[in-house]
Amino acid sequence: MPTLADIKAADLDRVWFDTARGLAELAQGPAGEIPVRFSNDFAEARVAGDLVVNGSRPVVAVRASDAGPLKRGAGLVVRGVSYRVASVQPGDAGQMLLELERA
Amino acid sequence: MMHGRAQVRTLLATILGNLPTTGTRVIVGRNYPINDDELAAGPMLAIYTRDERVDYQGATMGPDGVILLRELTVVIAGLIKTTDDDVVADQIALEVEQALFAATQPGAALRTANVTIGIETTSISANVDTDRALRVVEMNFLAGYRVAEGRPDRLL
Repeated sequence: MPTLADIKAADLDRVWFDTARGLAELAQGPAGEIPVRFSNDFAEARVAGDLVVNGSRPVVAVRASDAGPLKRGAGLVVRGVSYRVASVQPGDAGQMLLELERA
Repeated sequence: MMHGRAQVRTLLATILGNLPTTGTRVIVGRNYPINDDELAAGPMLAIYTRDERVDYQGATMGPDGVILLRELTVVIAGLIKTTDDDVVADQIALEVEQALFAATQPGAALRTANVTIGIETTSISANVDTDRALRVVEMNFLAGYRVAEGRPDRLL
């Protein structure tokens, strides 16, 4: 009988990282194309006490099985934009979050 | 005439308005957010003023009444988003400190306007809240100028 972890892992492949249905998209990593779930929402940085710098915060979710080569500093091209992995955040159920910075 | 503080800011914007590293990317004030696009073009300088202290202990009498020394904290911040290297932050600090020192020499802008300036503190920090690592070198300067009581617009 499959465990809950097995079911979640299967869902990752069948649902959450399904590029054919548009739930994920392909990105170019160091070891080839991998499916990612990408977001790039508004973010602001407050610096020097009173200054605000507007920008965005790009993040991708990847399957843990694809994350091996994506160490901090590794390159990743998403939607034609080159990024570097700034932070690797382990998650559960076989998924990891990678914070990106512009290369 | 503008308030002495505004005159100091204007003078500093002129003196620091075209340094080798920050070029003409200089903003005075802090009303609006800075956009990523502006920083992508190269490091920037932001100039604004914070607290001011009036030295009543050191007040003197002059022909226009009581003469007061005012000491104004000026923040000059260099913002760097094209590199995460502290070397650039220190290069900005070097250019700012040298330009301000030169401006206090005889015949130069600050000396002519009767404004003194000296650095108090420097802080270099990193911020990774947005898509490029942002490095900030924050320099706090103390600017001094004298005015007659009730005439903060006329630097003596």
